[in-house]
Amino acid sequence: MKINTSYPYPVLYMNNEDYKKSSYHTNISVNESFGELHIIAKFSLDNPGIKRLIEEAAAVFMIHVECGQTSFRQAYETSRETLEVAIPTNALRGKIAIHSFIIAKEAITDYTNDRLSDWYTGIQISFEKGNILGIGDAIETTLIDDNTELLNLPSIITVSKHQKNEFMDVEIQHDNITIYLPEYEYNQYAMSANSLLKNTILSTVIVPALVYVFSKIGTGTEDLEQYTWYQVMEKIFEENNLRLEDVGSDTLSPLKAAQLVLRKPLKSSFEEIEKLDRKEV
Amino acid sequence: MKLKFITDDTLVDLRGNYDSYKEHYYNTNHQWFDEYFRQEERVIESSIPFEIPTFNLSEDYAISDRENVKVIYDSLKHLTITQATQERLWAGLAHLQLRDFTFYRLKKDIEGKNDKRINTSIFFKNGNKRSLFVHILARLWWVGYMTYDETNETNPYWLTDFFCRKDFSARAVVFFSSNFTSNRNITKGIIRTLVKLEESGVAIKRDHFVQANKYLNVVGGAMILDMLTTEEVEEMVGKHLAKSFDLIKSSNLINTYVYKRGV
Repeated sequence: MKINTSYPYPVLYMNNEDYKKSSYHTNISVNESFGELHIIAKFSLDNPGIKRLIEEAAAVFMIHVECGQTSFRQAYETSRETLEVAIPTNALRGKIAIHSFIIAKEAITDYTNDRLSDWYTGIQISFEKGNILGIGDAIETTLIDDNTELLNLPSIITVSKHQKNEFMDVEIQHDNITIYLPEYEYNQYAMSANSLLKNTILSTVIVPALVYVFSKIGTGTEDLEQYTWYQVMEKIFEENNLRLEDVGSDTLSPLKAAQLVLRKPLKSSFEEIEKLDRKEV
Repeated sequence: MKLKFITDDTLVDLRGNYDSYKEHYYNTNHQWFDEYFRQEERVIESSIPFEIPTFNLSEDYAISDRENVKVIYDSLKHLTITQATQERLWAGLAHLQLRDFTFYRLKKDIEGKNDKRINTSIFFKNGNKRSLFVHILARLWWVGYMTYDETNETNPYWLTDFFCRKDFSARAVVFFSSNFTSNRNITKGIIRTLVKLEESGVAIKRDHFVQANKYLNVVGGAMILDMLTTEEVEEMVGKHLAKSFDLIKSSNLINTYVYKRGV
């Protein structure tokens, strides 16, 4: 969900100064168990005026859950400081965005709040039902299908035979990255995958393919984010304290990113060749 | 009978080597497909019960698409949402148990060897979400799921009937590409408004759908639409459309006036 930065009314939000000496934060945690995604949100609000509105049931704490791929979109509300929600995991897939708000539950006219910024002095304020009084923290989480073990790299890359092409080709507009090899190359690849030159063969095929993939990331990721391979890569980068979005920038070139993910593939290739040379001598 | 999927490898092979296989689609060569899928590890039998439904095979797709939304949703209402987002399920059905339907629905594209359309009809070629509303089988299920109204006991498909009356494929893609139409309360609210508008004598066109979505996009910037009930969405969109419909009329008048004066 896109969060606006400007509203036609005051909003308690860490990124603006509509209120003085006030804050609204939400601690959101998620865990998956027995086919359900459990979301626990703990709201902490420091603003007596808005607190009162919640006590009077004129406003509520809310979390908003959205999953683009399965068209799931739902808001959950409470007047308590903790909210627990359980959603069947079979309604969710891929990236899930969880946002928190404080929402007007009914029309509020002649709104006043003694911690409003001076800018609002003398201005009449009213809220309609559904208007946003406060914006809290948000998190994003990714649910990966449990029927595939997706956390290792090879499972998001498929090497396949292309009967007509004479050149290697990479397809990224799907959940898996598919590398298509011409027939002869594919047969050699399939035969030699467990040979002494295993890593060398992997690098000749996978390194250039990943360089290609990473070069596409720099050019805008919006439509790629939905695919499993992107989400898995994102996780791998995150676990190594890097950001996938930075690939293509000055600090992290596609070439370097590919070598990082494959853990120095050139080195292991040359080590294989060295061993083979030694044998022949 | 159980629902059959194709394996990931099969999917990759069919999709990637379409050029090598396309003749078999052009010839609607059942024998070739049967042999292909008989090979080992091509097909997975799931545990999901499934009876092959009787499709409407009218020559007029405007009729058959509408009826087949109900047919496919009725027969596969028990799919979980996650299952219903999977390419290997829909591509599988299109090639396996519902291949006859595929050949029927793609008759013109097959005759015209329209490879692009054949591809987007049986595989997911347009991104994960959009493909659900482009694939010839997935879109029937998803439009069914999105428009099914269980609160109407005598005809839960009354909104479906209205939605699918014309312009089905474009309407499905345009309407469900909005983020908030993911919420079925909102979707139903919009469609109910349009049904009412039509009953009052307005011919509903694609622009009415677009206008409604545009309006909610703007309003959604300042409020959380998902906390509204279907009735509240209906009322809001209704008011807006009534107003903007008048505006459209008067701006047309101005255009005509300017045109007549030769400005």
